[in-house]
Amino acid sequence: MNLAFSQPWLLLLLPLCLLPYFSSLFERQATPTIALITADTVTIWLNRLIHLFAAMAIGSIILGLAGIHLLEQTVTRTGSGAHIVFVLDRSASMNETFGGETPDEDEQSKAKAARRILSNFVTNRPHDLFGVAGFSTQPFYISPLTEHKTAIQAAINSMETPGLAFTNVAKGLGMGLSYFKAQPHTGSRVIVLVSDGAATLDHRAQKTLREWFERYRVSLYWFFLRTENGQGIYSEPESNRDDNPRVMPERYLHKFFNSLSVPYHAYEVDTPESLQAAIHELDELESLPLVYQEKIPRQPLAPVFYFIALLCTLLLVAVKSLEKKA
Amino acid sequence: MTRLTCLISAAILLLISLLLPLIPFPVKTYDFVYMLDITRSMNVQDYTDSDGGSISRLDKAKQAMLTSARSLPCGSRIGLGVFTERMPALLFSPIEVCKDYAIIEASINQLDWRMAWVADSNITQGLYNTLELMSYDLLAQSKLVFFSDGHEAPPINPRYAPDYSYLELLQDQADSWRAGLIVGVGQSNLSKIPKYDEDGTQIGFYQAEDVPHATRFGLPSDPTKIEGYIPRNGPWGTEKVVGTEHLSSIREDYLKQLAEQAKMHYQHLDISASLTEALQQPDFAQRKVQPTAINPLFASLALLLLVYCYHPFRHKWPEFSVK
Repeated sequence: MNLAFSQPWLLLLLPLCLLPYFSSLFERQATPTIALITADTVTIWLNRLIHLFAAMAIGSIILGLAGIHLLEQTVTRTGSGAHIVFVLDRSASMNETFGGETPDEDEQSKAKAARRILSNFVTNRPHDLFGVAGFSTQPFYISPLTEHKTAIQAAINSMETPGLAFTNVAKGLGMGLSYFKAQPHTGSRVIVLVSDGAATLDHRAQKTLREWFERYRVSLYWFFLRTENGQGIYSEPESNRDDNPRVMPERYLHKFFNSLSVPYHAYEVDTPESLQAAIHELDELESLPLVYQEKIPRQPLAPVFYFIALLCTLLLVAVKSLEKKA
Repeated sequence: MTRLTCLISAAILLLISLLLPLIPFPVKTYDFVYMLDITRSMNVQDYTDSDGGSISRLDKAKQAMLTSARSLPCGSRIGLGVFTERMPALLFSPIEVCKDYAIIEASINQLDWRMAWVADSNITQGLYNTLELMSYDLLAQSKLVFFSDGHEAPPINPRYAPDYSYLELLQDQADSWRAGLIVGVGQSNLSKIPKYDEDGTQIGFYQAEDVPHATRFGLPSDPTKIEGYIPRNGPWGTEKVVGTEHLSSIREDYLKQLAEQAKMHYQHLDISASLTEALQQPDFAQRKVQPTAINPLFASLALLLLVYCYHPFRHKWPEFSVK
């Protein structure tokens, strides 16, 4: 049994249970000779029972007051789900619409559209653990892998606030991968990169990312929020001269991701609807059996003890009312 | 009171404590967004931890954040953000301090100066932008707690400081608007600012020649005070200015002045407990109705009655009334 008390210091009152053994519930009555009262077994046992009831009544109230409860328990269950880390682009351009303009009444910014859709996705996946990391020029740790939905939503909410500087994908991914360092390997592991741009990766970054993706076995989803008329993942270079990572970072980042040994899916998204469709596909793909911990919240036992105390007290009332009046 | 009555009342009280539903009671809660300055000067190690070792302003601020988060009553909420150069970055909107404490703790522990996406530090502009951020729907309920040492780099030209009175125009009720608390982090004596390389290893301290010591931005407000003023080629004079900008101390006067402009409170962070106290002031409290269990009250009354029935100092013999 995992019993615990929320106010354990109240247990110091427990010696009060002994009170009934030191004093009697009944008035003393004088009797001419002791021979008139025989201490037969029934009387002795009745007396003991009455003491016991009184002690139980006092003790149960004290236990109840001390906040006795069953500890929160975690039960390991198997379901389907994933450990998902969102790596969110917080660069300034995310605040523009898919058309590359300042958002107005009819059109949402890319960040807002992404926030809304990710947030729905989180709500619909009950058993998944979600972590959130952000990046612009530098990565930042936002919230750890957790099943607390309110916290995950709060972290995704941050996308609504103004964006910062540039897009440094490598560092963001590194931060996202680091979330899996201390995680048990169960179910699918996914990094969802949501960005509206790409950047060149230097050799050092490429080597590290390749190593980490392999070590942690994390599959990668890239939701590329393409701006109208901007370059996309599948854009072909117009001339050989343009075919280099400086001019076409998206194309080269895609090539690099393809060369990783882990499953990789890229979605070029240019409307909120296509983002929804991409998320839907992720939802279907990432449902490997997952061992997850379900928490059974702690259960207060105080009412049970109050009930015991009530029963005992009622018995005492009955006994006391039967007392011979002087 | 006869003991029979006592026992009966005890039974009734127990019955009440069993059946009583949760009663909505007004409680005080708080809703804050912690915004931490992560510019370089926050790396200055001018605080002492409990073991006597020196810790940086950043670490001290993080400790104070955690201590204060633990002390807030359940139902309160905390959001988190960092600020560098002119811009704040919100990490998450406010979440509940008891249920989600583990997440708040993990995120605060991970706060680092290396999250900074630019290295400049313009606090007055940063505070202004943060206050603007606070007017988003997402954070409308929250009060800002702004941790900074007041050290700006490069020094700013006060002529181009933002006008805080404009922020007031954005509010529905200008009078009732109190933005929150500025927490001054750092000590008043000058200390060296550590210098780090790309990988985060310390490679020494900033030297006098590493940093500009006076502003060179825009035009001076009063050219006559500038030595060697040349309108076109040397609006800031031609002399090399050497000061103590490579060393850092808390700029309390400056922060207090900012606090006044922005209608915020100011608190210097000396011991972590002082922040806890400053946060739980009536100005920041929100009244929320929270269902509260008051059954223990009835149960303890029942206990008192039972103990009275059995208290050992009773007369051994009943007192006979003399007729």
